[in-house]
Amino acid sequence: MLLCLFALPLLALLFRVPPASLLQRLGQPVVLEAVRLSLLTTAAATCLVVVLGLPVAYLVAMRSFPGKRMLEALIDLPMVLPPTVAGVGLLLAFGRAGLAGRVLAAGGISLPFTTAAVVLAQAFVAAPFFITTAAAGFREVEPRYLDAAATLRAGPGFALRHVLLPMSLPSLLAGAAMSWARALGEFGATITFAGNLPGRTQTMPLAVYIALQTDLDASVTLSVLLVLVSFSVLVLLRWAPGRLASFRARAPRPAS
Amino acid sequence: MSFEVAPAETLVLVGESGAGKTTVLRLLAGLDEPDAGSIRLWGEPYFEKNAGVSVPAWRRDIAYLSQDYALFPHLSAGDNVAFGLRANGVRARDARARAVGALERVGLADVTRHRPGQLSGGQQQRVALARALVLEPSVLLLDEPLSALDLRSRGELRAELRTVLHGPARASVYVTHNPVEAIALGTRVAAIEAGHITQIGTPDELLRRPRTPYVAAFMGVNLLRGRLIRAADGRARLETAAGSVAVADTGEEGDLLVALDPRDITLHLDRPVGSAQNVLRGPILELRPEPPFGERVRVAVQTEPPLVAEVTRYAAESLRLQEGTPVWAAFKATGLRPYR
Repeated sequence: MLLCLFALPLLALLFRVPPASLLQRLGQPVVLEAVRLSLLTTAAATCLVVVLGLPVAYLVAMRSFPGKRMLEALIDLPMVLPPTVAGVGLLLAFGRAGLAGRVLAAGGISLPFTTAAVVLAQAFVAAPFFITTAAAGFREVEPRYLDAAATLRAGPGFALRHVLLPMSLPSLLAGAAMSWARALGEFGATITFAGNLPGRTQTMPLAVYIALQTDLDASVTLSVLLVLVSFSVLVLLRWAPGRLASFRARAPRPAS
Repeated sequence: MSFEVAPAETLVLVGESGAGKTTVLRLLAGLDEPDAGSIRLWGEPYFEKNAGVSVPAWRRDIAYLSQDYALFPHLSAGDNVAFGLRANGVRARDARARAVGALERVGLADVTRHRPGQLSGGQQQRVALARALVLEPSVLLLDEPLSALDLRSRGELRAELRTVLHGPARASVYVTHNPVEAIALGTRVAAIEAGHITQIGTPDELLRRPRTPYVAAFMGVNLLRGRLIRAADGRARLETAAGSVAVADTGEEGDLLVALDPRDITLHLDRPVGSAQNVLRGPILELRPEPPFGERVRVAVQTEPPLVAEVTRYAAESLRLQEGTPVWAAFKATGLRPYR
């Protein structure tokens, strides 16, 4: 039963568009614009999440401090929060009258309804996926390896770069892929905080929703694309870590 | 607990599981912090509770070989050995050359590019040793380095460790469960029981004059504790909680200890008539072949006091010794020199 509930909408989407015409429809300006913008913003959002998320993941996984459980709950919050609520929050914080918005406005910067706002909205909802996976990866690195690094006179920075990060690399990549996929599907926070401006803030999920009323074929084409991409990411995540691990364990370094 | 280790000396720590041997090494290495006390190297404080000094592990001139080697699985053997050099600013090319040299010295020049997962246990242990030694540490800490190896590689590595440990200007602390390693590698041996050092001395001292039942059992000798009574005829007897034995009279009195080598005890089916002053009777409790090959047999006898004798397997078989067989145990008094 449940499988039908999963499969039927997907099949309906796939049968609506013959594969041959799919490529042709991809050429439509509305579709192209949305794809371009989605690729750009999700790439930026993923970079942002990785750069800002790594220290947080490290802190949560490797250190103990008062209020750690609160911080962990806070990190998970965007996963369960309705994205529209996140959008309203972002608007109140970074809008013209918002807390941070006033500071930015003084510098002549206005975030809402810009491409940067799309990136921020995506990063907000996608961050927990990276931080949680990365922290789990850090925890999986056995302390004895970090002990060994320390007794080999490696400072914390060297140990981080040459032991902790490489040994948790599969988890970091998986976390980045998960948060990228989440950012790609972001709708609620984006439309609330960044609006729906074609070419500037209209990403693929927004275009799907808008085109539903005007151009059903474009909407379906984008939907099929999103389904394929998301499914590919999930398949890759299940297949790749084992492959990666066994490759790294087996292959001797090439001569250099 | 307090001890010092001099350069070119190897202190072997022995003790039962959970006695605190590994903890001592981790405290010295700086991986854990003691609640109190101090740790110094050549007078330089590494830890000083009262002065608030605590040098982090990576700033200590101490190498630590953990029981499980902890080779980095994502690095080749060569890169594992070069790791410490790279961390200390040695250029990649120089570090690699020195790593290859260090691997050559432990006989592993041909596995430089292999990952730890491709190496045997003995090879991994050698890589870990090369990785620690390439930094030329003043102090080398080893936690049961041979326990995970098969018998043959254990013997080979023990001989290699001997040359490494007795190198100049290096103080080593070596944790083991194995009396053979303690005697072969230790300049001194410290017994740790429940977090305290109960005896420290040369292997010979521990062998001849064990102070606790654990040390005696570890060294494989009988230890009798009792009160020395001098008889009217000038002969001395040690009164233990269970029975008494005749001992040599060294002029000492009071509560004393006596060590008795199991090989100095002879076993007889009939009461022996001879020069030995001590002749005790009791049933055999247990027969245990001595490792590694069992050419000798340890025989626990329920005499008063209870004793362990060691005889050849041939003797045990020709006398048909079995559990429960009543035997006579004989040994001379002159060999038993009481001590405090």
